[in-house]
Amino acid sequence: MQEAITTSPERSPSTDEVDPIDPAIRIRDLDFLYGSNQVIHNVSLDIFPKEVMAFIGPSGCGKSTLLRCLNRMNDLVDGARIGKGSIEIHGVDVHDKSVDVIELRKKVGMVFQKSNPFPKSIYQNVAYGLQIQGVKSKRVVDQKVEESLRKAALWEEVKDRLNENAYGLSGGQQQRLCIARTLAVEPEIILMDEPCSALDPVATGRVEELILELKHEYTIVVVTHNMQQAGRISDRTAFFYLGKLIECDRTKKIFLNPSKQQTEDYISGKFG
Amino acid sequence: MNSSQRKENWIKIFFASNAVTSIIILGLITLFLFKEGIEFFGQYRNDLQRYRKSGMEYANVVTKQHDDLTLLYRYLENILSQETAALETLTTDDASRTSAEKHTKQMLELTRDFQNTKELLLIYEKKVVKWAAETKLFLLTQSDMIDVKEEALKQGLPLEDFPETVAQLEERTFFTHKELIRWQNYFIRHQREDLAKRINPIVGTESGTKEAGQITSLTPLIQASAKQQYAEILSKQKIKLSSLLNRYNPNFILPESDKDFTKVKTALTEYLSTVPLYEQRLSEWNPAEPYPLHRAFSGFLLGKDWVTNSARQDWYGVLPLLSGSLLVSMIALALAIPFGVGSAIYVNQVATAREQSIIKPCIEFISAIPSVLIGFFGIAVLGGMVSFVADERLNSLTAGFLLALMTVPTIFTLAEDSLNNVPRALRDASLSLGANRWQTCARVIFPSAITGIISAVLLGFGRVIGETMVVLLCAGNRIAIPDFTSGLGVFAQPVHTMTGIIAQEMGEVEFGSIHYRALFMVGIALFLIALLVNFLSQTIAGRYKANY
Repeated sequence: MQEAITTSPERSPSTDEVDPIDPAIRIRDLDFLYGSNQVIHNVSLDIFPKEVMAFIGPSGCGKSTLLRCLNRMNDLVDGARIGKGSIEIHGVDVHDKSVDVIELRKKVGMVFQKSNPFPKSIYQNVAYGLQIQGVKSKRVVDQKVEESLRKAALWEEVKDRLNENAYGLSGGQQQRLCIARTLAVEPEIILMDEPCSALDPVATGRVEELILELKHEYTIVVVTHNMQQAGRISDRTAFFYLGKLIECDRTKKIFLNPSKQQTEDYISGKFG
Repeated sequence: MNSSQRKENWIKIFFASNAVTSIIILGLITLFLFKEGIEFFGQYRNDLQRYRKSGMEYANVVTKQHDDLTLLYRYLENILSQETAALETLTTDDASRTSAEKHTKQMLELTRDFQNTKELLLIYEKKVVKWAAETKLFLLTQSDMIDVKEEALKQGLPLEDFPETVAQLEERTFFTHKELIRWQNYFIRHQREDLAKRINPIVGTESGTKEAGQITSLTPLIQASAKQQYAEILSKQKIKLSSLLNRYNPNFILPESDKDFTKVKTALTEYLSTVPLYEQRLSEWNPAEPYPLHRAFSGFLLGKDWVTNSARQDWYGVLPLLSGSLLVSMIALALAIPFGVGSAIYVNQVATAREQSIIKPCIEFISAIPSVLIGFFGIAVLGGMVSFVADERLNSLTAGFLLALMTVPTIFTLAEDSLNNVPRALRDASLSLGANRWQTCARVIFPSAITGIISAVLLGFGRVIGETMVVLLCAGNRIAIPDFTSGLGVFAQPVHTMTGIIAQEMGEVEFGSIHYRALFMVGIALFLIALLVNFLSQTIAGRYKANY
């Protein structure tokens, strides 16, 4: 934990201070509802470029919902809507009518809780995002597939069996394949929804290493149940409880010296 | 063993017995089907043996030859009539008229000549058919008599008026009316009306032979005629026809007559080259030669004719029915697959919850409509609409449309299920990569569900091929292999189906007859197709489940 924090740049101030860097994601006064059931209450939060932000909190606290708001995956849920407030990515309100949701999702990639490769070959999985964008050139696709698999630290393991079905990979490999698939689309921001919750400790370790590697290039938002994980990989941590943002600060501070009692109770395991 | 264990055992036995009962019933149905059907081949073989032995086989070859000749004659007649008509248009003072008249007269003579040649064969054919028909009746009577005699021996009835042994009966070449009456009375005396009924003495009195009051095997007569009369006719015919070809030098009024006549000439040459084949087939005919059993099998499986209650010979070939069933099913599936799968995709991928709650029950309700009502609709409404593209109102297209309607619910429901079974995570993954709804559907969801959709289609096929009422009412019921050379028109021809023929004929056939057994064999074929389709769809569905 100690090591993770020292390796990250110490440039992220707490939200209360005036910030000299433009945030990659700016959430302001956000209310979010499923029908009449409000699940996010008045959340304001900034996420800065090339940092790893961890969302923690007990189940049902709205952290996954907030994450899915960022690339509008909640659009698919009947009755899901924004009550008030806004989410801006590089200054553009993502819920504005003029925003092309397809372009948004290319910019804001997502990795899911359970690895979900397509029932296709390894190669086809990574190439998918390019192919739907209409990239025809085999050379470009080949190159991009290799590059993405290398970035996801999977290339050496799969380079000899790119045409085999992705379901033949182990769980950890599948999750890294999903990350490679996301990278191939060249996003700026990667959202990860509990990416290691279905993995064994060794596979988890490899994905965490990968996240630390990727943050040099990408802004990463991770939802996690595992507080040690948040400590190991994130620069800053936001703690949610019952749909409200309780506290957001540098990870070291949250874990060692939280300013709210609820945060301390949760971290010390009094509830959750 | 304590009481709770005992109770548990009873419960186990109860549920196990339910499963076992259904399996046993399935087995019994299969067994019954096969038991009733399988005897068909033996009976059919015997029937075909009679067909050969009676000379009807021989007669049919002669008929076929005569038909060939008739076709040629029709060509000539055509030419003659168009020439005669053309002659009428020429004015009397036309210089060419005299020569044209002469030629037309020659043509008339030629046609007459040809007809006379043809007539020789026709007379011979009629004679042979008559002989063969009587011989066939004789053979039927003989086998009936042997049957009743065997029955009488088994029952231990006294010899009295029926002292003939089985061997003696087998040796007989004729039965007299008197004899048959005597045997009939013998059985009536012994209170065996059932056996008495099987003896039909009337046939003897109405026979075509000179000896009234008896029915005779005329096989020797036919054999002798083959060597003399038929050979004579052929040699006469050959001389006439070839001289006809060489001698006549046409000078027609109409240019197309010239063309037609050249055609006739080629056809005639062709015919003459087939004559030796006919001769060979006829000389090879041997009434005593046993008819092999495998010919009964192939006659059923590959037979192109389904002819029943024929004066000459019944044929039980499943091919016209099978091809009709398949044609109708293909039409139905070609329509039902896009509609069923398309609406499944819409309901699963696009429709709002409200739309779903309307569309799904509506489509599923279609399967609740009694098929006879759908048949009504087909006859009353659809037939009229189809008749714009087809010659007849009721044809494979009419039935195909309706079957498509009936099978859409099956395909829709199962395809929708399999689309539903595609994990949501796959859809989310695709969308999160920037794919739109249609790309996601076409590249991820549909391919993932494809095995389920294929098995849905196969089950739809099973439903279509087993459907009876609609095809019986609307398929047109013409027993013939669809003419695949007519291009798209093949889809608009009336056909008969395997299910239709069973429903139509089963009520009227005599129990235990060849026809009855043939229908069972059609049923078995249907059963095997259904089994195959079910097996395939289960295999595919099984592989599909293994994926997740």
